[in-house]
Amino acid sequence: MKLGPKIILSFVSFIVLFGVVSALATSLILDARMQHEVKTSEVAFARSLSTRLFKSIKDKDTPVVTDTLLDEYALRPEKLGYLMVLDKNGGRVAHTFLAPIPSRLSTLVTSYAQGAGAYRVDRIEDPAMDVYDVSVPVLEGIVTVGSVHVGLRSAYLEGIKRDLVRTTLAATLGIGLIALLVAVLLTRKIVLPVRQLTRVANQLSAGQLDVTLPNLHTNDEIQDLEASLAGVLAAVTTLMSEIEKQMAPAATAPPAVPEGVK
Amino acid sequence: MAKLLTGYFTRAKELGGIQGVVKLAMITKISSNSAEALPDSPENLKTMEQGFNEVKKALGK
Repeated sequence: MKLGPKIILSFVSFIVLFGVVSALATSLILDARMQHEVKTSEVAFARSLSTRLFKSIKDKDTPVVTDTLLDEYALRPEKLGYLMVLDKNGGRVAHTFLAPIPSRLSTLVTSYAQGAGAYRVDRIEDPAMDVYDVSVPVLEGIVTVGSVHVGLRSAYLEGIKRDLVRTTLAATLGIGLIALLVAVLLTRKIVLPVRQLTRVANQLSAGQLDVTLPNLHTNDEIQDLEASLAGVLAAVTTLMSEIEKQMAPAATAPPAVPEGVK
Repeated sequence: MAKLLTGYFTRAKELGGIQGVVKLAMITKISSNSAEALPDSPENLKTMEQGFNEVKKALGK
């Protein structure tokens, strides 16, 4: 393979590899952290609902709770699959479903670890709905009177992840194009002088001494190479000249007369 | 005719024969033929002087 394509291929391969590794790293590292951050924010949201609606939940005032849930749901329908409040026995107090409730949501676990910071995050993979059910208990002292459930759409999280990876890949593509341009320019800067010197060297090796060096001003190893080539050329030319000088008297001298011949 | 420049080649030849002449051409990057065509400019003379000194060193003279 020629030097030019070799340099360009190396550059582009490196950038593509770098991009793929970056995208994978972004996907793996950020995915876990992002999911944690988003879920934590939904826990905080569920807690705020539980605090605001505590009395209504305890009294099972379904219209009031439903109104509040629908108002909150309307603010973030792309992120939330549903909002739901269950009583202490798991019975539904209120929810935001307009269609039949997915069967998988009927079997939600509503037991929590003891303590004020308790919450649960369960993946609900139902054909009708793929969500993370983020729930917190509604507490009266240490007694659980119900639970608030926030259905966080997994598609929303996947969308964020997809956007991150897409942005990384787009940035990589942009950098890759710049790298390609740099590689092409660099290649021209390196390969063109090398090609000129190769041509001169080929002429020399073919026995042609009246060659003209390209007179490069690259201030690098290529210029050093040209200087060395100039030295060799001068030495060979001088040597040839000296040989010619030594041969000339012999050629013009009269043929030697053998001894004894008169 | 660059008499001073060609003079260095003569001196190099006296010093080291063909080896001296070739070495001088190699170091200065000026062939003996080119030296005849080049002017005796201060720059060319300086290059030759430095080259000649290196040849002397290399030949141990």
